[in-house]
Amino acid sequence: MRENDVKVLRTLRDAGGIASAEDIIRKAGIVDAAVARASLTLSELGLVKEQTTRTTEIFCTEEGHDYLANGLPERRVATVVHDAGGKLSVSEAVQQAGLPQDFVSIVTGWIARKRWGKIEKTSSGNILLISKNPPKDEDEEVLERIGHVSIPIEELPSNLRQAADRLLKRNILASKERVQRKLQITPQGLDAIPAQASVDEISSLTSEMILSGDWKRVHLRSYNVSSPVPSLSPGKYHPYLRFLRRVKRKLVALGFREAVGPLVETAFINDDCLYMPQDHPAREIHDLYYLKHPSKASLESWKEIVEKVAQTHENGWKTGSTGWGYKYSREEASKLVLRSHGTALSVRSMISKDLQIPGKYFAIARCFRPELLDRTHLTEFNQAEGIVLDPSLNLRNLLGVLEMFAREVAGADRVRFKPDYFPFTEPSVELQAYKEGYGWMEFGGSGIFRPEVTEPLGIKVPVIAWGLGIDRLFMMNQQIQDIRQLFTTDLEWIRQQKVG
Amino acid sequence: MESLDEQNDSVSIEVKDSNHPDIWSVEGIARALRTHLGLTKPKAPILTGKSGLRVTIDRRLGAVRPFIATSIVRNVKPSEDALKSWISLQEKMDLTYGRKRKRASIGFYQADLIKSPLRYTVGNPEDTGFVPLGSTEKMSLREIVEKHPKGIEYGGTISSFKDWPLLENGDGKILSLPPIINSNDLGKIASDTKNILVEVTGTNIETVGNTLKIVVAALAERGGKIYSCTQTYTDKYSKPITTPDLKSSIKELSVNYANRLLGSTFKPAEMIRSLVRAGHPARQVSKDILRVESLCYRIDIMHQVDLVEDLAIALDINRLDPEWPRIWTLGGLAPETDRHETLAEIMIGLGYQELLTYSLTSPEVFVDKMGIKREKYAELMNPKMSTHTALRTWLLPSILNLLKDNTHVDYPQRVFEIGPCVVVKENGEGQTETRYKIAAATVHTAAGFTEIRSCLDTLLASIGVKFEVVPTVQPSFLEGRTGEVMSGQERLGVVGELHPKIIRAWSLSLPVAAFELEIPPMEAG
Repeated sequence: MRENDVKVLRTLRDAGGIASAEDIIRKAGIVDAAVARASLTLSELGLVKEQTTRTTEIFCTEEGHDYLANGLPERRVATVVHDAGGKLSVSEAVQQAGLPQDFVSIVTGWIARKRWGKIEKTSSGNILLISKNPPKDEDEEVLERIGHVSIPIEELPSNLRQAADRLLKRNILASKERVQRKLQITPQGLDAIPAQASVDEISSLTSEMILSGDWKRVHLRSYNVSSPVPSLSPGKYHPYLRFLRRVKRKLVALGFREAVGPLVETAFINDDCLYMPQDHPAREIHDLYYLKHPSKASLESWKEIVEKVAQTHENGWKTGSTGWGYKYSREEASKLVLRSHGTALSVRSMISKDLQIPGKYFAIARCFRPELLDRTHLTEFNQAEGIVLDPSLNLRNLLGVLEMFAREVAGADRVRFKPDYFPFTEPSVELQAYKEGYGWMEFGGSGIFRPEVTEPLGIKVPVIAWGLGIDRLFMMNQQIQDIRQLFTTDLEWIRQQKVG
Repeated sequence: MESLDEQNDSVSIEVKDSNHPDIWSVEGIARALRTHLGLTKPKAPILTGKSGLRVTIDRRLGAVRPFIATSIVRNVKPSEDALKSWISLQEKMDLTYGRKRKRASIGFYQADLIKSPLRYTVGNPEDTGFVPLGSTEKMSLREIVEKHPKGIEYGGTISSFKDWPLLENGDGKILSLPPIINSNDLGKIASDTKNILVEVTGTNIETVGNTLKIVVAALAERGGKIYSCTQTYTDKYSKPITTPDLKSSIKELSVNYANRLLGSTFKPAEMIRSLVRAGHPARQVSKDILRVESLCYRIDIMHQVDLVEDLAIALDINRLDPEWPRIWTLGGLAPETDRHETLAEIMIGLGYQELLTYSLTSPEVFVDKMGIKREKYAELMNPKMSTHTALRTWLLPSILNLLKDNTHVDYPQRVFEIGPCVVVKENGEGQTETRYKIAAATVHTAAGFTEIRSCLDTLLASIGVKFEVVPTVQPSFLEGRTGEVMSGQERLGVVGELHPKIIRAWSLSLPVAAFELEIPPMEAG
């Protein structure tokens, strides 16, 4: 037996025969890896037994912390009603308690269930009657007991456990399983404790020993190299940003130059330059975020382009098109919006003085649309977009670009194309990619920019424009079902994602 | 095609073209399929004759809804299915092409109940009334807009005006309140209605005319004969206007241009065959030029490029050989991205986990909860969620917002983010500026100023930025343990220990030390 084995056995004996690893670490004064090694050796010798207990740790959610500081909603409302003389309309009480109106039914429900007061239905709404300030109840006691730490639910008396369950259901508390390992000394273990610790072994090699040559005379204890060691959380790339970096590398390797641009754009850049008529449904407030402060920007620096774009919208200008046939508004054009698609960055590339022809440009663009967050929608998301410019380009080149992306970026086995529609490209093509195990998937949209887009910007060559569903590709690669995971706040998930 | 259900004898088709309302009906799809399969040749719809119906238009409609176009279609083969199809076409067109009935909306009536001349006029919302479709009681126009479901939905198109549009029959009875609802007595067609008056009102004369063409062309697909009507505007459009206008538009298409755009070598005859299958009668007028007819309902054809796309679809784009563009270009990351990569590399080397958080958040998060005063920030006019109402001005609040959800996760927690923030300049030019910043935080029982300052020093020294840290007061941080990071005269950011009240505001219970910096400009060389 080694020094640490003996220390563990002694500690167990002194602790009454059973102790958790944490206790042993503290009492025996040795590090956790050493305890782990010792317990492995000792259990192999039958001197200790491992006992595993599972506990459920409960702790306050964000909402719970709020209630801890300010009181449960029903308490806040009850206090308001009581202070107001014991009678008050429900919605008034909820408002005075500083709660939103959707708490009305929650609060009345709990006050009724807790029998803190009565609800009187009148024609002008429900009235709360609370004659005396209700005493502190079990829910509140649980909340106070937990405070800002987490405790095992099993430690609560049974009446409070019911209250804790209620609070868990109300999302005021959250829980986490915790596995605790304890070591128990066996009768053989008790017998095996030597009277004196053996000290003929050295555990750590020191600089002195190395320099003096003392290491030759001492016996360095062997480690159990197979036993587990503590885990580390290194600094790493965020899983999604790591994926985007890889996509960028591929695109750079294919000769694309990266473009960057602002999150806030004018409607002129975001839509008008893409020949989207100013009353296009995608420009309505349901589909495009507008800024309130500041709401407009000057178009002075784009003056010449604005003139050409305006005429193109109205009557086609010199592009050979009929135009949309409406009165273009410069006021509308100057409105500030949040970039709603990566194509805005392609516009930026095209109007840049550094534009080169032949040229290939790409951008991974953060974009915004007024969506409620759910499994398939984000209000802030990413698009990979780009353009290719050259006098020689044609539709077959567009298909060639798409095929290359499908194989290189998405790792697809086969591709096929479907006609598509965008106001700014003609012809427009949808890319579908087949991947073993996934089947056919929609993977991107593309097209050749309409002359109504390119000519007002001073570009006289065909421009291939493409966009890839980059968020979805990442979800597929990482087997993620819920798109909200891209912006997750779960640090454990971020730390533990495999790096492929 | 999406799916084929042979048992129920039905096919479901996905129509992506939001510019192509002529195929938003069963009739239109059948017509397009017949020509695509070569079963019939495309043919312009025929105007059988004059209906004799006249419509007079009141000049007071000028600002409200000035335009109307009408036509009568006789002898359609009526059925339940046909009725369903027309109502669905009406709804789709009103919604999309008609911009939720603002730009144009469609009404159907039994032509046999109609007496010429119709009066398109205005009525007072209080004094005028009728029994709206699907109702039994007479309501005033205002009651219709305020109480009827269609009124609630579409009332916004007219409610701001003093007088509202009305369509009256020749005998003075009210036919409808455009674009809200028809009269229950006179404005209803049924599954046995053979003669139909189609009426389109709106604010854009071209949209109104186009909508009428598409609807009557669809009705004609069920055997209907199209008859014209005349509109007399009492204002500047003094000459009577006859509708519908079923004339095709003619475009010239260069064979060479089409082949160049497609990367193909089609002969004129092949192109003509494909154009015909796409619904465009065409013939060759010279070596390079085709004369292509776009039928009246093909309002999507704006430019010869649209004909080239139709050509490609008729040929099946999957038959074209994909070819990677043979041009040589130099790829590369934007200089900004290169800069961010260097910073990320150093932070990761220092043991910090990279994060990705929303840049669209709320001032409650990035101002109030940080204990600082509200200054200028880019605020949304139309937020969808109370948690996403403005663009953040700095990153640290987003990081704390993540840390607060991870109090059960192993400490130490060391994290950083390089991400976009938006500052408001209100200089009359661009007004806002998107700036990337870098922020880092360390959270554990012994986290403190020295640790974070060491990181900051390492980071800035690695990229060769000379700087000094001078004491400062920033309410998010502890006074006496907070410094401003200065590079010459330029303020790069802040470093310090977070104030306990801010730590509590974020429901954290351990010390937090953090820094946030503007991304320093790159040194030359």
